[in-house]
Amino acid sequence: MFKRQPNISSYPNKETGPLELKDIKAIIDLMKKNDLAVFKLEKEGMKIELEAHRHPVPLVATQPVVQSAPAAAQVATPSSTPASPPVEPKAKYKEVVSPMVGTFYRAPSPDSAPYVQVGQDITADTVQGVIAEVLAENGTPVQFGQPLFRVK
Amino acid sequence: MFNKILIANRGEIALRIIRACKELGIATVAVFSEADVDSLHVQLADEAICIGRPPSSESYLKIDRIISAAEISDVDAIHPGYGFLAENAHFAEVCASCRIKFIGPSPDAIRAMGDKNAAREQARKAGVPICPGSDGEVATEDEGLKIAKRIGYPVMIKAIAGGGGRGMRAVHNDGSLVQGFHAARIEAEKAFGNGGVYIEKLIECPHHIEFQILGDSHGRLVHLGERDCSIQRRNQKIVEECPSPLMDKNLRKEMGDCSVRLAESVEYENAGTIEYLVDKNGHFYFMEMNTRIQVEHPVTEEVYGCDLVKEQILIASGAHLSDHVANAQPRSHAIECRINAEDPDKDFQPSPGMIDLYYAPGGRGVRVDSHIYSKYTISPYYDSMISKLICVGSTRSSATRRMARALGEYLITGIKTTIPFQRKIMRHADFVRGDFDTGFVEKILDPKPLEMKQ
Repeated sequence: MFKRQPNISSYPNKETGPLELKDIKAIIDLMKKNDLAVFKLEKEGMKIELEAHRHPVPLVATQPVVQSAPAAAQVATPSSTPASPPVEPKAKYKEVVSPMVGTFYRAPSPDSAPYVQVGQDITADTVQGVIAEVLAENGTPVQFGQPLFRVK
Repeated sequence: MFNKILIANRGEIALRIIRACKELGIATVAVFSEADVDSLHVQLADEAICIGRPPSSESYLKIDRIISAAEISDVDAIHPGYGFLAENAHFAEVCASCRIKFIGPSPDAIRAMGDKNAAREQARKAGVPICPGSDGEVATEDEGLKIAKRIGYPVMIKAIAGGGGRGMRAVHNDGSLVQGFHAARIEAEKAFGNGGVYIEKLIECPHHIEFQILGDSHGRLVHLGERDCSIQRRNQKIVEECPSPLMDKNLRKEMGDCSVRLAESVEYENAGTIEYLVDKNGHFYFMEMNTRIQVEHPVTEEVYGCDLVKEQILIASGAHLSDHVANAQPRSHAIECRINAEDPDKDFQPSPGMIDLYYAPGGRGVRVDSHIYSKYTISPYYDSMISKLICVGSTRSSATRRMARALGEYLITGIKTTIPFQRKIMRHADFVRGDFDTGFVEKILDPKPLEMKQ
């Protein structure tokens, strides 16, 4: 039935490539630690280029910018070039992005107090810190990957 | 009429739908994955919403995200394109429950024709020829011999749990049937842990021919002729044309009547395609129905002078079938070549990466449906088709020559494409003569099996 459905498993991706994702993550961490902007490595059958972007790149005029959380960059191997959007390194701040498409509400009802406020301490499985900024307007539509909070 | 439509797809078909909407004055919403940020459908739609990560299971197949995107952008209808959710009855139902019009057939029609066995039964009831064979498993060789005698040799023994050619045997007489029956059972048992086999008539050197159906919500249903899609590699169509070089007026009428009757039996609405295998003597057998717009729809549009995607949108909004479509007559010949980002010299392995230079062919009778451009990066996550080149001519030979000319002009550098292989097909004497069947591509890729043929 689904004749034209893409067969993802048959395509190489970075997880199964010669360089493992965890290796790339380690390189990214090193780059951040030493404040490196560009990293290039070429060896037999493999080539990798990492570039840290200081500023987010606007994508679509009518929609907010999409960013994914961890610093990723262009990875090139002979058979695959996954296209991941450029990402801002977050030396000081961590962004909490929307995991879904929907409407962003800051409070359970219009009369209630917001779930979180700027300056509030938060502790979750993935983030810990102080809310530095709320990036999305209450009651507005948000897309997948859209930054919602900046956490210090 | 709709005010705003969401396109639940990507690539060239998303672009094709956006173009139809623009000409109808309807606003468009594109959805995209993180890998498609730079895709043309995202740039050309009025709005675009990111719905997830690159794998389609985390984006283009996520019903909840697509419905959320439809709600926040306040659309009246969703066009599913082809692939992804286009033939998902559940998705069509969710759309209806959210008061969003699904541009396609009803969930019931998708279900009735989506299941292969149910569709076969529906075809039998509507008096459409189906490939003769056993009703389910054949348990003993005696039973097999009886069935073979009834349907006539040659027959095909196939594994019930089968796939990929294993547990499959073509047999031509009683002796080879007995032998093949046991061999197929052992092979099937080994490969699938299930030795069950069934028997079907072997259709020799068939053409793959499909009929375009279009029905409105007021009970008017017509067919718009056939497409010949026999040029395939591993069951993937590569070249399609309209009309078929095999077809004559009488066969077209007979197959067209069957197609309309079958579609009417499930009260089919919107665009659909009924696929057949046709042998060299003009006997045809129902294979399956596709309840969506097809990749190769442009060849029908060019020959019948209509816009099928616009017609789909109009029908979904409740309009009557346009008169110029209902009374359309074929008046030229059209060929489509699918251009894939694959390397024909390396067993057609995918060739993703950045396109360096892109120059599309032009001139009279040339149409390009594509979402790529210079410096666009082809993602490894999705289907490798990057363009459809459609050429029209007043005759088959002028269309073939035009296609060869246009392929020669087509410039895509930085990645490997199937353009050189398509040029080879257009120059092949058998193709030029219109003398081919579904085995054509294998034959030109590896000419040895032909010489050894008994």
